Amino acid sequence: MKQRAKSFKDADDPYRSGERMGHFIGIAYDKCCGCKLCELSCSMLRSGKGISSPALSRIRVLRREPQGLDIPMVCLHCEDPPCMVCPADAMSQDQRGVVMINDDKCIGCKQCLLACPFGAISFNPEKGKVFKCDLCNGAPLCVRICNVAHPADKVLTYQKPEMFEKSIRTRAFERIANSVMQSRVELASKVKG
Amino acid sequence: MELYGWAGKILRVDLSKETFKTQPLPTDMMTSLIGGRGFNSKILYDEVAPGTDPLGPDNKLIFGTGPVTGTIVSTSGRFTVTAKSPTTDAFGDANAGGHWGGELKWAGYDVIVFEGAAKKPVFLWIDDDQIELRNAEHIWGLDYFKTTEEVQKDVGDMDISVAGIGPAGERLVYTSCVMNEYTRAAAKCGMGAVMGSKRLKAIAVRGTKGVKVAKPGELFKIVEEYIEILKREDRWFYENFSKYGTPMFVDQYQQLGALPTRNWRETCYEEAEKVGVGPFYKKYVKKKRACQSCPYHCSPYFTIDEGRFAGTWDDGTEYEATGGFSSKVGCGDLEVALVGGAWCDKFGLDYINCADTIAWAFECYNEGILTKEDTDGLDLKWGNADAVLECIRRMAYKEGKFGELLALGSRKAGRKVGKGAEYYSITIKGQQMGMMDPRVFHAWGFAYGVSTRGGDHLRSHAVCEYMFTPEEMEKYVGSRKAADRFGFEGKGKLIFWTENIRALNDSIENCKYFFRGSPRLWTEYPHKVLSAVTGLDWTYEMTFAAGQRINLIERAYNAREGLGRKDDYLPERFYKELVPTGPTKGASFPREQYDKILDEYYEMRGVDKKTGYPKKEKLLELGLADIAADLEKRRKLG
Repeated sequence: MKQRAKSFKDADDPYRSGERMGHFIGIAYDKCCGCKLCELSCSMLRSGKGISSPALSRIRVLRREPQGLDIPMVCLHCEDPPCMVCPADAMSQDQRGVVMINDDKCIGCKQCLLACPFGAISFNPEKGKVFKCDLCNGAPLCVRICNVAHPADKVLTYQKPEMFEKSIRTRAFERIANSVMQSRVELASKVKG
Repeated sequence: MELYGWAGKILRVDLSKETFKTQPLPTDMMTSLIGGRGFNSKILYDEVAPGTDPLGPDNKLIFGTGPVTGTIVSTSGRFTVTAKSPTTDAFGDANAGGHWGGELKWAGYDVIVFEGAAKKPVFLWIDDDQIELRNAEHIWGLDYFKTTEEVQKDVGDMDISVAGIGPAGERLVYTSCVMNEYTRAAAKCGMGAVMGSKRLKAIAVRGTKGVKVAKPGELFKIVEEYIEILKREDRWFYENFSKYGTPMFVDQYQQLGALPTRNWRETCYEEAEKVGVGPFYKKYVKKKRACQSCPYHCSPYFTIDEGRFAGTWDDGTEYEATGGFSSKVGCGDLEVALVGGAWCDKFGLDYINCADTIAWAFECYNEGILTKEDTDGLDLKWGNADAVLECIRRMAYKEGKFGELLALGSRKAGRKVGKGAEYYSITIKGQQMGMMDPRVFHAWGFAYGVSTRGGDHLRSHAVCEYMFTPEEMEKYVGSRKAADRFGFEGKGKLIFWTENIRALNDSIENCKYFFRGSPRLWTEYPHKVLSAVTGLDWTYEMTFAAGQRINLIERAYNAREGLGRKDDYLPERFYKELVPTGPTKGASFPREQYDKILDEYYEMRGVDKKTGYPKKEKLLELGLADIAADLEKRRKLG
């Protein structure tokens, strides 16, 4: 079942070693501003007909104004993907962990769409087939436009999971460190008092 | 021929008969007027006759998007709302960001025209081709935030876009606006009141069809390239504006001695530091949010977590709120200004028109023209924070005699009160102005005067006068002295040139801030993205001509309503009073100088110097023969 997709070009891939790496698009959920440039770039360049429409995008941003939330949702390329339920063998995972759909094999049964816990698979009624993120041959357009438009925020990043873990860990460390420092100050003032 | 960019459809909704009709978008309109503001202005000119009651069923409410709306073209989530304005009793439109414009485009419409008036409150639900008028009696009376929630529940989808009005629009308050995405306002000209008069509470849209782009690869490259140009050529602005948004202008204009204080008496506010961007960001702002396809994200999402306003939130708070509800009424309480802004969004009021009208009432009270009896017991001493908030609420709900008065906006309220109150209503054609003092920014002051929708800071790019170097000014306007903000030379040409550019921005539906940074952006970007999106060959000259056409159509509309040269002047205060304090003390804008600039401007605009009406030659030159014939019939040709 796990086969290496032919369309994946080594030259476009920032990680060329060929090892299994668990590629995915890292998301800084608290930084996204909800501009939808990722959705519109993806749909325009990947839908095949140059159509700008979030409904045809493989990445979606959900916004909730009262809470000030903007949450990008996209395939996380699970290590053990629930979407592999495909009865037509259209879903595959290459040796790097990229989960992809073979359009020629897809029968449009939508089983994968139902199985995905993140809603990352969509159905294109015109083609009668499902579609999802395939990391654009190793150079995701959503990541590219996001970093051109909002370079300071680093909302979408395409990198090794361990690098992403590290940046999250660093941020959490800063938060914890602040509270520890704060409690030290409070303690000191109590002792003095 | 396959159509790219434009959806090619006008949706007509007859609210009286509850019927819908779609008609194809005329091809000649696409190339001559581009979209958004251009389409709307022409439709209004053709279909709403002079003398129409702005709040009657014969007025039309038009929502328009541009050819690039809903694509990756930077800041392309915008739309224009147009109708005859109850504020100015003449041409009126308002432009908003957010996501609603894109959503309408994805549903497959360029323009919606609302005609007639519903018998009972309704909201319109557009789900691609499925269009439905639904009962809105259960949401009539709710504030706009609740309205959005209820409409989303009614439809059963939390991701749809909802444009609508709050209690202010329902009650036909002249300072009301049309809101979308909770906090984005199409604010000017009382468009909310027009929507309220039609008993249309909201327009909910879900679009899944999308916008067809002719040259996707090329468009992606252009968009990337020009975002880089923006970052490179105006780095300081890009970084700061992304970080702070417009609230940073409080500090900037204070420094430049241009911050309107106590209803435009002064230009320098002693407590500006308290309401500046520093305290705002330190304590309240939680994150930055953006309209569709924006490379900036200027919109601060804030919450107030403690104290008597705990639980208040707002998004997209602007300079016009943090300054309008502070310096303009002499009240240095940031929290009150923030709550004022949040209430405006909730009630569906325009920051500028609302704050200005309140400042007018404060000054009249302090000058003894209004008494406590007139204000229903409110004490409007400069700086009374609680009174500011109370005024906003009473204006929105038309509560009591004083609420009714405020709801008229400062010009009409001034006329009603008399006793010299008109002198303190700082309006042009009945419209309040953006918060930059005309005496210290002459091009800006002049732009307020000649704007087709009344006092307005967005109709031209006057900011050039202190942003450009003299060399740049010489290159673009032909006068080095135009770069002096206290000077008088070259201002007419600057405003003529940038008014056309702005009409173009409003017609392809882009945000003005994207173009602020560099003249390269506004002379190259529009026609390049138009070519990539629509597949037609656009040139700078074509887009510039469209800008002229749109301005002249609007001027013709106003001429038909009887507005002319006499209405293109600033409020008396700015000719009579010198700036009394601060770094710009003594600055003035003499009327003779203003007259000279006006003559220079009329010459270029193709408008008669005596009457201010458009000239036949210019109309014919721009291909507006039908308008020339109409004006000739009505004897309104210049």
